[in-house]
Amino acid sequence: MSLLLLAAAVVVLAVLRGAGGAVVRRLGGDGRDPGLSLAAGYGVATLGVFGLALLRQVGPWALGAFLAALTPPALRFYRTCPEARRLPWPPPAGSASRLAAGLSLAILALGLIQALAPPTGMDSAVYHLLAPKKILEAGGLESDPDHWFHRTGGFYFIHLLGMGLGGEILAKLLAFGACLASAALAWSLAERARPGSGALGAVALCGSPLVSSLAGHEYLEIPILMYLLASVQAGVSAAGGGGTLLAGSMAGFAIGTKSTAFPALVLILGLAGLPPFALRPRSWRHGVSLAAGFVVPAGFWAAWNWASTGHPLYSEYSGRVLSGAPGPSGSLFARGLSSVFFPSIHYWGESAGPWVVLGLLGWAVLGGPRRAGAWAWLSLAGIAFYFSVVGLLLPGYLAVHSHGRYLAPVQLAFGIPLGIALLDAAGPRVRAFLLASLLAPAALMALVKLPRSLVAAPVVLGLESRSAYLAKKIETFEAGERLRAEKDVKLLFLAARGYYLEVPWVWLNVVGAVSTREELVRRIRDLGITHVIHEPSGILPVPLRDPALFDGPPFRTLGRWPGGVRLLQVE
Amino acid sequence: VHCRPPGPEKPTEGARGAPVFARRLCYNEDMENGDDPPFTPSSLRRRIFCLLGSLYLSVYGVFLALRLGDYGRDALRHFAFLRRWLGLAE
Repeated sequence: MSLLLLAAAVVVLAVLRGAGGAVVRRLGGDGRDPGLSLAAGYGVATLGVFGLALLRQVGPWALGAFLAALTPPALRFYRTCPEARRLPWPPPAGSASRLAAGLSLAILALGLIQALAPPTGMDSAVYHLLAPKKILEAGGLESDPDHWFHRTGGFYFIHLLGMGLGGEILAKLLAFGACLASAALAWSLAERARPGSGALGAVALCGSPLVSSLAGHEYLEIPILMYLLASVQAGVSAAGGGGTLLAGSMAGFAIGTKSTAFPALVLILGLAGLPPFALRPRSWRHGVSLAAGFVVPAGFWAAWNWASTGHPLYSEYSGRVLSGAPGPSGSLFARGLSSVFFPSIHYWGESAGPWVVLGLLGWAVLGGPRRAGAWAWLSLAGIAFYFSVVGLLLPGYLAVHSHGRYLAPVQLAFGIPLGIALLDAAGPRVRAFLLASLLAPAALMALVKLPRSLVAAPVVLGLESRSAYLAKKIETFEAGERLRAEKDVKLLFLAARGYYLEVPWVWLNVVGAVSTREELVRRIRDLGITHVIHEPSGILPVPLRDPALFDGPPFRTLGRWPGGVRLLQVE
Repeated sequence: VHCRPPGPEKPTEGARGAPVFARRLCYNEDMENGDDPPFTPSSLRRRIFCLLGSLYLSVYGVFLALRLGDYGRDALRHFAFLRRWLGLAE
């Protein structure tokens, strides 16, 4: 089964790459860069499936017809571009490059195993696969403002395409394709910066904590990174207005993937040619093309939210953080900033890694080369812009340990060419120092990824069932499964991974800001809740984490699982 | 229609022997005039960079070591899953 799904994913990705290549060529490029073509194909599919979802036509037949419509231009592209039919694998030169290529492939292979297994990533099962599942179940987008899962991010339509055509594993594999495109783009950008350094660029990306920990899961930071790299690649190689249009649209898709991608906006300064960020000459004509390319991919999702809720952004989580968190303070800011430069405490991997920081340090101390300047300024501007906006608009968010994750795509997109530009400019000792800071953490990250992939291998090979795998990985899975046999269930899910529930349910956000047991019981009665699954984890607002809330009538415990998970009946 | 754009197959050589397209990765006035100025940091700057870089990596290493406890616990949890699946543990 896994082989069949893998083959299906290869076909879909090949169609997207071919259709994207045709778009790139129409805009004046040559379409040979596999990462840029695939990113452009993802963009085309995102807008196409969004259109189908607006028309409430997201069934397998409609999605299949959409893919079939992309096939003729894709085939024409492959027919006229023989280089696109070959696997791009330039042989790495030198032992460091060979090691870098090996580590990159190892991390991607481990990620592929995780991509072939049922989803277990926290955010995947809270948002990134749950939203497409809900949109599919509803037959398209719904304008009811209470349906939060219809208000989220642009790349969800790629997940939806995969899920509608072949189920959750195909959705995961299409998401994993963004990892491959990012690695290919990092390779080609590094080759541009310093011929022969492609593998080092790839390992700077694959060995970063962000990519190595999230490869194989469906987190949105990887597509953001892919679109940013594609925008940079289109921007630095654009010959005319078409290339600028493509660069602008790729930057727009990065912003449209998730609202927390806003630090990527600084790339517009570089693409518009504003010193000291200039990646290309300044020209009004190109500025217009840039804006024209940017506006739809960046704004289509916000326009939908505004039309259906009156607000361009929808963030239930930010609302909760804002309502309950303290204001900014020096220590919170320091904690937030430290997560950009050091491995922070609460997330598995979210920073760009030490190599990018060393690139910035090298540029500051060594004083050049000048071609590295724009990348360094863009990288620093991304950090400054992010913390300025968060400090001004969402001060409570400074207490959340995820800043590294939100900034890492920007840091990697600008830091990879920056670090590579330093490599051949500073002598053998500095080069050895930079290479060690690149390869040693990557090897560690590959080791860290290994156990999770090994545990996923049996279910991928068909030696273990989906339910047995999920029962050991997801604490609330069996509680949800037990409810499937019950009739007339309306579940209140006070836990994280709602993706697996197959009964009618509402999430914790409908409970609102309850602070006492009496309030909670009254709200549950008002909503007609029959059962509750409670997982006293950090995702819950503080008052709801207390297990004692559910002791005694009207709650009756039907089952208990590790992590304090309880299935309760409301009597 | 052919995918290769018009122009020379191989990049031309710049003043310092590096291919010119490598210099076009980002724009500045020097590149428009044909070359990036030579980059030869002084020995003192190189020493300062290696010193500060080592200091940063040391602090990073301490943070990473603190994280390794988490990584290790997660690895042990997953190896326990594997042992159970292989029938080596209850």
